[in-house]
Amino acid sequence: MTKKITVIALLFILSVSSYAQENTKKFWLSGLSRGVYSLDELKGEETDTTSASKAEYGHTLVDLSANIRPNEHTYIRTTIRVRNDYGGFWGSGTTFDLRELYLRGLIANSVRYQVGDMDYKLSPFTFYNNNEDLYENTLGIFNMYSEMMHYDYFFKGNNTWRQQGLATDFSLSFKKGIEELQFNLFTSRINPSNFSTVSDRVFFGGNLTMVQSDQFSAGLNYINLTDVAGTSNNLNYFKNPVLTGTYKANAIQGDFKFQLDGESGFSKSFTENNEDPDNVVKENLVEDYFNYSTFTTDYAPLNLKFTIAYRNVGQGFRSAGAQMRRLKFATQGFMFNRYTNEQIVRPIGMWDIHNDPTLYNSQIQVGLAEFYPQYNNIDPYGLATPNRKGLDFDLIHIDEQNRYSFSLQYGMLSEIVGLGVDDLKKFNTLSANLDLNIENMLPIYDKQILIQLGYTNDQTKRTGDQDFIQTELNTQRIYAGITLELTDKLYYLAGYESIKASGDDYLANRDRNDVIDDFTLFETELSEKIIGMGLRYEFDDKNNLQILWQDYNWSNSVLGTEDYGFDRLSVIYIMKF
Amino acid sequence: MKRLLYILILGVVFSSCEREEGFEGPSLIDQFGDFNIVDSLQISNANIDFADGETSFFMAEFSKSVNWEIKITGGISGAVKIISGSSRIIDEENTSWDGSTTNLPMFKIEDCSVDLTVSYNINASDTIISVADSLISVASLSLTTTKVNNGLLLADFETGLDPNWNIFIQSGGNMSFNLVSNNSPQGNSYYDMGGNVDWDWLIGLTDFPAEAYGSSTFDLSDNGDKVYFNVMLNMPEGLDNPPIVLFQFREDDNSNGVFEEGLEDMYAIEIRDLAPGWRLVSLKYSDLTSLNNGAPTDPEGNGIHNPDLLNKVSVLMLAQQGGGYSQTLMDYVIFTEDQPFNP
Repeated sequence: MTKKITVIALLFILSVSSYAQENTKKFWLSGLSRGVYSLDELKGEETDTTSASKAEYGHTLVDLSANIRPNEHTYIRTTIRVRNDYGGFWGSGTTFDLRELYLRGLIANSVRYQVGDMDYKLSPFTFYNNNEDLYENTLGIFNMYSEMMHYDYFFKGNNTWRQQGLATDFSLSFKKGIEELQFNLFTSRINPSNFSTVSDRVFFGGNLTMVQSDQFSAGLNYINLTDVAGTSNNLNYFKNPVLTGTYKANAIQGDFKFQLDGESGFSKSFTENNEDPDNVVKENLVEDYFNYSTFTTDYAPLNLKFTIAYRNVGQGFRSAGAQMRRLKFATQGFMFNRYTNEQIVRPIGMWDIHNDPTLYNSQIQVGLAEFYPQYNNIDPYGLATPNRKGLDFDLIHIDEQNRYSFSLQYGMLSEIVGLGVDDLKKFNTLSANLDLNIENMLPIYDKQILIQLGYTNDQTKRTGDQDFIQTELNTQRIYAGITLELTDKLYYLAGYESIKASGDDYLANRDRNDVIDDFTLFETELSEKIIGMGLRYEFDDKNNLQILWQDYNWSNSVLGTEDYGFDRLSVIYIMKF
Repeated sequence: MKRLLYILILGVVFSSCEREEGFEGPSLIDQFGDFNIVDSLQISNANIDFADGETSFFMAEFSKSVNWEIKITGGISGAVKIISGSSRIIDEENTSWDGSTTNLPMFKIEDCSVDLTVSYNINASDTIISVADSLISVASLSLTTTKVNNGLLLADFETGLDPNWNIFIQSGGNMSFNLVSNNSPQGNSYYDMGGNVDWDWLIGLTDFPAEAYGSSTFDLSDNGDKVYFNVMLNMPEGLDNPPIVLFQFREDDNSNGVFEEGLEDMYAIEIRDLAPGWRLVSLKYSDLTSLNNGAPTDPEGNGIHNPDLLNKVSVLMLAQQGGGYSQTLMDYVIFTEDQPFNP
């Protein structure tokens, strides 16, 4: 039935398309098509005769978007995805999905609205889709699959969450005092009722920004994730309101530009009518506040930007829209999930994070989800990570002639309250990234030679007068890559990345009421390496073909499991239209 | 400049908010830390005169929170009081002792031994070792008087049988409605009810009429929810015919000085399934029901639990007729208010 509807819809779109050719700007088609083929080989112990060592798979898909503008103030977009997995013939394995549908417009030339699917965010403490672990600064050659997953999950570069609901924004201008008042409001449904035990859960809020001038603005953000009473027989209603205030001020003095901006606010998280097994009402109220402020200095002559940021996020600060992790915690990957003759579970590695779409969340959920401390033990929930205070420093320089650019980040944070002891964990992070555009250093060479080098070091450390209090977890990441333009539009890509994590740390286990009831000692001696190379041919800005080869190795002596690795050869064709 | 000042003020306001101090989650020190005695066991009052309103408590301090248990054992009575908790510090807050016992018998005027044991985990070479019930301190104390028990005492059987009580004993074999002074749960004596009656369930009964205590009704609250009837019972070991103890509570609903059968309320409770060993039975007066041959029935008076109109308490010793010898030991019959008797 679904296929029939989809086919009819496609026919409708195509027929309207021919009509639209006669009425330009009323209707047009756009989209993306993608073909991916991969050949993977598992490298485990040589004596493993039980596990299948090779797998080939891939897919072809088309996202066909119909863009309809019935009048100058209304825009409708619907996208249908047709996907055929590798090996599907004559319709077998082919899927048709309505990928997105929304309508947006302008009322009375002043109020904008959008109904249906929308991408929305507010601030890093209220509603924000933080990048997943290992995403930032990853070389393009290793990020190809991540980028595809981001596209599939609507993880756009501006950290929005894909929602379904209603959004509107408008502004009021003033002649005196302040320039403008900007209003943004939204509501979406996170969870539908089953009319029995699960209530409708909605997420709503908005933002009011007062723009006093180019030099100063301030605003208020409010969000609330709440169950709707009466939509089921369940009388427990979860609520998570967050109210924050923002400010931004800047000034120019000579060659220096200064900017101060920040956000402060508080949150509550509780459940109305919640009863424990002894019928005692437990609201499980968790509440706290945060302060975050950054001061940025731009020195124009050197194209140098320095930022110092302070944050103090209370241990009880809860903001589901900002603390939701993209990456699910899993102990088992989708691909080659068992290996060795004993068919043990293959532990997760960065390969899975870069390649496994089943590890990603598409919707906001409640609670502080488990995370991977070996990759990010400092900010697993972004800036809104609770129980953190301290300073972050950031220095960025871009050469005037674009010969090189570098960035340096240093963070010195600590807990606000200890976990299980009064002693606080200290978090130190150092990150350096250097991009070299060699062709700009060579006056007679015009083909691109881009070299990327990077290093990050995260350390979590707790000292104490007894051995079990002392913990230390270190993660080092080194990466290096080169992009070489061989001939016009043909590029050679190569990269290397290594992650080493060693040490231990106590992680909090939280019960269903968000109370820490125990600790788990996390220990690791992780070593991961990935090397890759490939060719990319860019037909044009929207159309490229890549052939990539990657070799990946994983080991963790603490777990006592066999080392493993993957080889992958992949062909990827992407066309946007 | 003013704007910056406002921002700073805002920041100060937020920064000045106070958070709870301490740490999140269960204590790691309690789970894995070394155990040491910081302050050894001390007793606040080692010669306690409970009758004079004195109490006592215990003090100790450890390096970490542990599960601790203080066991006070009477040298003569064998009474045992167990005070337990989970904390790093033992003090008046968690160890105040009023002379009560955890299990019968009750304490007498006697010397007592005090044992302090602890249970905890330690982390040795990355291995968690559990230490259970480790005895770390021994002390002693003396009781110069026993605790004062508030309530309306009907009988402690310490000074013989009151002639104003009405005692009926069936004609049977080995009948023993008498006092015994041996291993009493309270004081020195208890009431022994026993015998073998082939032809009737009733072996004997004892009435405690209110007149024996100076009035036609007992001096009790009029609120049945506040009044508790308490009695200590024991079924000796080796009985083939287990006893049934029936307590009857007759009310003088019309306040004419006597209970009138069929016109006034009589509530009752049957105590079955007694086991060897002394046991305290405490019953809320308002929970009592009217019984007819052991089955619940409607009360025949005003149908309201009126402890203040209680005219007589009867104890009927019953056993299966022809079932052989049966016996029940009874001690310390007392009404308390607001809460069950704390022995």
